[in-house]
Amino acid sequence: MTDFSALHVALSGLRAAQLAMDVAANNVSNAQTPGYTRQRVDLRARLSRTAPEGQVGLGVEVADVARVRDRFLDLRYRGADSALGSVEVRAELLSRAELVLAEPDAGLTAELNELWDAFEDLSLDPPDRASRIAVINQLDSIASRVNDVSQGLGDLRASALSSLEATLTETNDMLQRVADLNAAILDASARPGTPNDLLDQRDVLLDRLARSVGASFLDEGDGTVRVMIGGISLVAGTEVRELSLDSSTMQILHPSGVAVVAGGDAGGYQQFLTQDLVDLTGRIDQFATDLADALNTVHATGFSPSGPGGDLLTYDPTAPAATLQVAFTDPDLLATASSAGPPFPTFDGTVAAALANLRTQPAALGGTVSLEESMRAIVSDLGTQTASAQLGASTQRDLVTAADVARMATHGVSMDEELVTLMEYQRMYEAAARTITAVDEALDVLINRTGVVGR
Amino acid sequence: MTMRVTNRMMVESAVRRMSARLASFERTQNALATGKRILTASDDVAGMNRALSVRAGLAATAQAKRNADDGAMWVELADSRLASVVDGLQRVRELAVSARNPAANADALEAIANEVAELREVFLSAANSRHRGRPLFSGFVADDPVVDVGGTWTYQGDNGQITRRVSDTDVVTINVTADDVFGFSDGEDLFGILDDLETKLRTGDRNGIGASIDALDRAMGRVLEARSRLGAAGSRIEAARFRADAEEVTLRAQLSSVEDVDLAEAVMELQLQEVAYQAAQGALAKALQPSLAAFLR
Repeated sequence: MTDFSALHVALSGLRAAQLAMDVAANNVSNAQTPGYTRQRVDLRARLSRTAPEGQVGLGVEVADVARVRDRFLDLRYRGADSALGSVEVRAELLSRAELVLAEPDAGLTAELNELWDAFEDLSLDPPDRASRIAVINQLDSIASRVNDVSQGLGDLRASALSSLEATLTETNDMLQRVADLNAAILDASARPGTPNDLLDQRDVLLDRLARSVGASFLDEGDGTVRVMIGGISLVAGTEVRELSLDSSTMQILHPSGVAVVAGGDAGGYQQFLTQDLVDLTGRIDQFATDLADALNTVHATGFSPSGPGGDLLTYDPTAPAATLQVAFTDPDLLATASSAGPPFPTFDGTVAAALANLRTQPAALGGTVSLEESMRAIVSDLGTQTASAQLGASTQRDLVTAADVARMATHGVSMDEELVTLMEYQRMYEAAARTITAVDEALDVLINRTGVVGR
Repeated sequence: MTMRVTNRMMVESAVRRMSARLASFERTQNALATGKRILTASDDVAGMNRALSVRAGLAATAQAKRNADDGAMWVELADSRLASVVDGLQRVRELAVSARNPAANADALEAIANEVAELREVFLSAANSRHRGRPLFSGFVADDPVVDVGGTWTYQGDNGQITRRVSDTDVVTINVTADDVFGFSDGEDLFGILDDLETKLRTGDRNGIGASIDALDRAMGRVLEARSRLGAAGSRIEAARFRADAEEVTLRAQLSSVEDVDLAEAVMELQLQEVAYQAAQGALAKALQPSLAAFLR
């Protein structure tokens, strides 16, 4: 370096200011881009030269254009969002199950009340054909309603299963993209500077992976991340291990055959499919069995003109709720009388009254509660589960919101801040340019006006 | 350190707050539109449980009322038939007494016999009376209870007790059988007594009429006893019907307090939420407007 290094120094200032303005412009442009992390220009002084008189600075240089990203905030957000996924999915599915039961207006409790009324009306006038037909119709109606509930829960299962499958497909796709980005980032690390945009893209994917399956992440130090579920690697460097679903056990399997414990949306689907729905379906089946058995037992004690009473309702024990149906459609076969005669006691409605008495008799769950109470318990328990899942979801949503706000506060772009930065660097640019002018004027004096005495 | 407030954060928080406001606005509106506070169990589990139990109670009570009405009608019909029998029996007794008067000649006795035969037919039709095709006095059996089988009056019904459930616990027997009312079960049926009396009148056996009068008194006692049983059943039914009415009112009030929306409160709530929603909108519009860009040249 010779004299007038000030020109070069000022030039470095011009360049740095220009670059900083570029970065500010980029920040402003991406203020609303999801997943964008604001970038900051890290300036540092160039190494000084040693002049005989002392150390003289050589200007400024850009050390890095860095992302302002806090790993801890990411961790907090992803943990909270993964938990939210589980509970939100479950709350949604449970409230759909509630709609299937359609209580209190169009549900099985209302059907039960109507069934008892129909039997009791029959007991008032046993040979009345209209009353007999009404009983058969109401039996048919309650059986169809049980079938509908069973069908509705089956549809819900199919829908949850296909959502789970879709979630896993999307997860596998995201795992692949994380691996691709790992490769690209590794590649870019050979060049100077930080590949901010690639990192942003990967962070968006990591957010979504936490939400979909509750995956966790480990920085490998070389720029790549390892994606894991419960300590089992899904992405290591550029290698991907895809997840698959065993649709009979609802287990999510790693290629090694190990069942992983998923969180996030997938965990919610899994919990609903393996616990809540199995429990609910079992209880509806139990209700169908109890209903048919209780009615058939009482009806068998009665007599119709053509003989002792047969079954009123039939079902296949392997799938009671789905197959429950009325056993006969001939109203004359309803056995309302308590004896066969002769003469046949046409107006004996004792057995019809006994059937109506099942209204309050403990006929369900091994003779512990009435059928209506057992149905009511199903509705209440499902309601409790749904309400607590919804409450959990709303609490968790607040946590996610707080974590998200904290993240946006740190990572997000503030327009005002960027405008101030822009002005600062604009001034810096002007000042650097003015420096060049000053040096230029000094040179002008030296070159053009020196040694002209007496000319 | 003060928190940085970024643009995206402001927009997202504002949108989140607004949609939360809108959601509660929508919930209240829904409650108002349906008039129901509980639409699914998860809205209020305990409330739903009570609502379902009260609904079951209401259905049972409504049915008990129908049972009671039906029972009351049967009891009333049977009683009015038996009342006509009582009137007729009194007439027969008067006739029998007058026949014992030595002043009555053979023609008079013949006329009395004819009237007794007539009244027997009236009693027979009362014993075999039906309502909507159903015999009133034959138990569970559909046939006429009293028939003449080869010259002997026979009861061919059974002893079935027709009952009506008029409340959760109260079951009332609403029928009496011709077997009891007309003395078949005591081996001294009214129609036999009348046949016997008619024969005595036609043959002029004045001395035998005294025994017939005693038998008629016993027959009258049986009919009156049956009427008192029907009367007791009727008043039990009436009392139960009265209780059922009161219970229904109570249950309806309970159901409404559990299920229904308090209209005034809900409307007030809706107003408040509307104001809150508009305030959130206003705040968002204000918060997003100022930018440093507006003040730089």
